[in-house]
Amino acid sequence: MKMELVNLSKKFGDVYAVKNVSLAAEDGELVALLGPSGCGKTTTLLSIAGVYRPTEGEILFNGLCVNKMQPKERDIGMVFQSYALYPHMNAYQNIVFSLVLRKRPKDEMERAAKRVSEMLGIGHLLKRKAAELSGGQQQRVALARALIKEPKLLLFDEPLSNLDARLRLSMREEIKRLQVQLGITSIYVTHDQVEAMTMADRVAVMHDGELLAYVPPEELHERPRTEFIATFIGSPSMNLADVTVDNTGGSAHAVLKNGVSVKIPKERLPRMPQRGNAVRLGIRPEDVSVVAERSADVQARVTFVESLGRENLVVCDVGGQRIQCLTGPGQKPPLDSTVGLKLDMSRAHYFDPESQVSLLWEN
Amino acid sequence: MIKRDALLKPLPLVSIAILSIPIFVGYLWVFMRTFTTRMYGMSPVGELTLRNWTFIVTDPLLWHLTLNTFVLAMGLTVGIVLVSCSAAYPLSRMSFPGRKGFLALTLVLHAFPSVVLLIAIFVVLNYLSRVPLIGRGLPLIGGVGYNTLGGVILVSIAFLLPLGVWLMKGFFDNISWDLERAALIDGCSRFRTWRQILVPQIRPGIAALGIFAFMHGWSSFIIPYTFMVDQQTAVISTYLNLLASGEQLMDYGVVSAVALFQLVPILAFYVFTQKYLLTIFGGGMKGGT
Repeated sequence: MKMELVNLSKKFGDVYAVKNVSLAAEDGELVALLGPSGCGKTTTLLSIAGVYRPTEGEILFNGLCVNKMQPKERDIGMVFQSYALYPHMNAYQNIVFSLVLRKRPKDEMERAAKRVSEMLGIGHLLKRKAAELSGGQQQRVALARALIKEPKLLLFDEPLSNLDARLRLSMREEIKRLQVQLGITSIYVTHDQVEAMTMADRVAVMHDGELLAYVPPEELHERPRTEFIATFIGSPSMNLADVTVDNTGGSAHAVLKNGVSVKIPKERLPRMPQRGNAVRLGIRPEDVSVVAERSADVQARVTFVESLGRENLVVCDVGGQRIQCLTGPGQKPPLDSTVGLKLDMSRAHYFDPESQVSLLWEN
Repeated sequence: MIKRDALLKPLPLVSIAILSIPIFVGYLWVFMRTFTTRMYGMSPVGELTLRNWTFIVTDPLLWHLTLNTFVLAMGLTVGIVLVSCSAAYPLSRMSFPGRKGFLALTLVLHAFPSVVLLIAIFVVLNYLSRVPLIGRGLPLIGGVGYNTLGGVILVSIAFLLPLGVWLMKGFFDNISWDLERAALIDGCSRFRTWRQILVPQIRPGIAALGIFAFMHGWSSFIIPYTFMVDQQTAVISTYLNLLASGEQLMDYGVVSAVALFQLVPILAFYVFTQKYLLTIFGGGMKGGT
């Protein structure tokens, strides 16, 4: 089913929780709503579910406006962060509750419950109460409860946030596998960029109630349209430095505050902002490498080294400018030593310091 | 240090024990008095006797009054639980104009001394008893007017409602919104969500409030005393008052025995249910507007 939001806004009192959001999820697509907490992504999801009534705008299911429909009429299944299993019922009663409310015959309920519980590997847990299940099992029951209705739209509200790291990985895989297998259009709310990037076909980045970008995950990382997206996506986050672009004499250079200049490759030359030539340079830690001083672009003082296991995070100081870089496992410069940094300028990003819009990618 | 800790540890218990002595001595005196004909200080005079307890077999009125007391306590319990649960849900979950004002007002009413209202309530009940059938024509509770059990139950519920509503609201506040949303998406109506999903979650609160209300109703005095004047509609506490202030010389033995008779069920009830009663403090404190 195709789900569309058209200029959706939701106000609580005088405050906009969601402001003028428009996006469309094609049939069978998994769309992630990504953003920091309080950005309006859950409000958007609950509006789609019919729990909240939008203040303005429309929600379309297959082109049909569902604004006035009750949640139960919308043919949706929802999975919550807290699982929200009914504590006084056992797993089976939880799963079939929606069918009980629809007064389906008993044998049909049993067949449906058997089908979904086998799909999720919880067939042996059906007699247990919610409190007697582990977090992962509870989430599977919650998923079964959402799937038994054979919904046209699946809504996930941070479903993996309460699970431990290892379980999160396997559940992530499983949810994605099921979603592809069943081909159900899904909206997935998360604040975890890795989840969004790995699972979603398209990611909608939200901030302060507004939709900042709605693009496939690779593009989000490689072609961030705004400074917020650039720093929000990727971990550790992108280095930002105020530079001036010196475009005199044949080749362009980015000049840092302390006078150090780095050559900008021709094919990566940014548009110039409307006033002046001051821009904000963004470069990801993985595109900065620690090299021998003679082949380096800039000299830096090491202020902090953090071992991340597979790699080391080296925090450097370049004349008052903080730059983070990732180095290989063997490369761990001592604190306070001077090192050379090489910036891979063919992967640098540039932003307008005022509007914070990318100077490389069209909006 | 260790020695000091060892000394300090039993201190709360010891101080509670010391402070409880006067109360305990009182109960002990009542208990002993029921088996004697006369007491000199704390020591019984003369032979031990069961004469004071003969009312259990000889006095049918007392059993009738016990039934009345039970009906009053049960009526209060059922009424307060029903009304509190249904009133607390919208107060906790819905936003409507006047919600905050209503909550504040009930709290003020709770602080208001009920004695002040007795005359006004008499007028209301007296008026109600002129309404046919429900005024004074109902079985068991007699009606909801003046000089009926139902009227006393009605007034008792009203006085206990602020406490009940606030308490239940606290319990509802603690239930996650997601649970309600899940039920809504599964196809429950708001009422069905309340009845089938939310009320089962607050059973400890219902138990606590119910027990509290039952004990309150069982031993209440001022409301039954004011609004029920017939012997046929009296309860044990008012009967006790009658025994203690009658025209004849007061028989302390019988008064003590009846008092104990009233006390025993509530004591047994308390022993078995105190676990639930304590959840009042567990769940009721977290509420807010």
